[in-house]
Amino acid sequence: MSGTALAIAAAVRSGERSAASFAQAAIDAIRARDGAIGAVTRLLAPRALAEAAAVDAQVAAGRDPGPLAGVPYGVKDLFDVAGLSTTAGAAMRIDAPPATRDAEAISRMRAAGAVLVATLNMDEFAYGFATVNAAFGTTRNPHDPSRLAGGSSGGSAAAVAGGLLPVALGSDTNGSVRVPAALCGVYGLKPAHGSLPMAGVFPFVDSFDDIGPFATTVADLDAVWMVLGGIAAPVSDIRSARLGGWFARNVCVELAEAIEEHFGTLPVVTIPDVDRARSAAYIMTAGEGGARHLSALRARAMAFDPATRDRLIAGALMPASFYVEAQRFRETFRASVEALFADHDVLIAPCVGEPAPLIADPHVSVDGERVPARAHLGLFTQPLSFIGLPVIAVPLRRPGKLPLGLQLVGRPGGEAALFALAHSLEREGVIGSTRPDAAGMVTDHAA
Amino acid sequence: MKAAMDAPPAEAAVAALAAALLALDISDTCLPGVAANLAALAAHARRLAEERPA
Repeated sequence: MSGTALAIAAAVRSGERSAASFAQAAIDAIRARDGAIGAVTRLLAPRALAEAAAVDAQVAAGRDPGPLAGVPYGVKDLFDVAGLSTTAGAAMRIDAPPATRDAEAISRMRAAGAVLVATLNMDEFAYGFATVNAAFGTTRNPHDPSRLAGGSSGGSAAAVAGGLLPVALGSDTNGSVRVPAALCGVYGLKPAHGSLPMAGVFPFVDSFDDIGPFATTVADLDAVWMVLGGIAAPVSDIRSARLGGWFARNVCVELAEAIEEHFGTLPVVTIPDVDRARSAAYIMTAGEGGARHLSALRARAMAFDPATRDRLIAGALMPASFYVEAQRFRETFRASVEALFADHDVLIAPCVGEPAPLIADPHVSVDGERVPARAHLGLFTQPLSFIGLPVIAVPLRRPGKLPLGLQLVGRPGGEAALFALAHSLEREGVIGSTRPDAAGMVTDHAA
Repeated sequence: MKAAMDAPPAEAAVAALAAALLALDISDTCLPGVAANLAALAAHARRLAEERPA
């Protein structure tokens, strides 16, 4: 599967190439190469070919099938797909009653001409940063199959990074789009909280859940965001700053040097009490997640992955006062961060502080200690989604090296500034997605 | 909230947790993992409650 989403759409809309051929190419790519990645949980070949045929019929009839005409894509396993059980990455949901209709995001993608090809792997109930799934397997990083793809939207990120699909949809609660985007070297958007449709998406934490796309170019990411409900806005004179303090610690030397090289002339701003923000995010996640799953825990606790189960039970048993205090702190923290946006449009921060951890040794370094990656890859992402800020995860352009990524952080509703800066950085070659091809050579995705 | 965060004697805490699991029809097999996660959440709550200079 080669070519960007916009290139595919242009070829299909012009009649140069059929949507069916692109759908078949995606199906063939998944069959040939996903075994080594483990991104795909269900290949929807009949649906994909039917959707592609409908797009081709529109083109033949002289109608415009939409801005994503014929673009193959996949969705994280927590999006409702009509006729399928929405597993949310849980073995206990394999036999759940099938969804009666597509999630709203899928309906919008279809209306834009996109072709759904696959459902994609995730951490059970989205409660993890690794996509290590006891039932559906571990998704491997296409840049190095011995390493994690990140999570919980690891299947979505890996499918795009591995060249199986040009775009995919995931979800982000505490970093579940941004972390795998960084580890897999692709772009990922966590929009402002509540700005994109959540109808038909299996929930985790209502206070933080958002859907978001993955892509290999800024233009593709932007195009999918617009289809899903993004609103373009004029932007000029983007004022950027680097986030220091918490966001300058626990960053590997390579990443710190890259940030200094490319953004060293920018002012540095700090946010107070980021450690508390992360703690409050943990508490709210545990509380809301535990409450949501309590009835299932009471009925079938042993059907859960133990790692998920015990965290959810703890959240359900946690004193309510913890949650109330976290909510109070949230408003204080929100005010302190939003004050920064009076003088800045984009804040730049690391996304994950080091390259993807090894699957055999899934740990990261935090304050000199080796800690489990599954719970700690969100060190830099959690404090930002805690207050619903929009973020684009962007990959530093590093051909032949393990991916490292940054977060471009905006004010609520400020996605346009993020995209403008991302476009600029991509043109300058500071950021860009690359992937190893079958021969082990690195190829620019946009080539 | 302070009372909730102060660590009670370990045995009493474990017994209370086991009783809570039983009341929810959840096997006490989960006890060690749940206890560890609750301790982590309590640590997070203590961090939120810290007095810090303005």
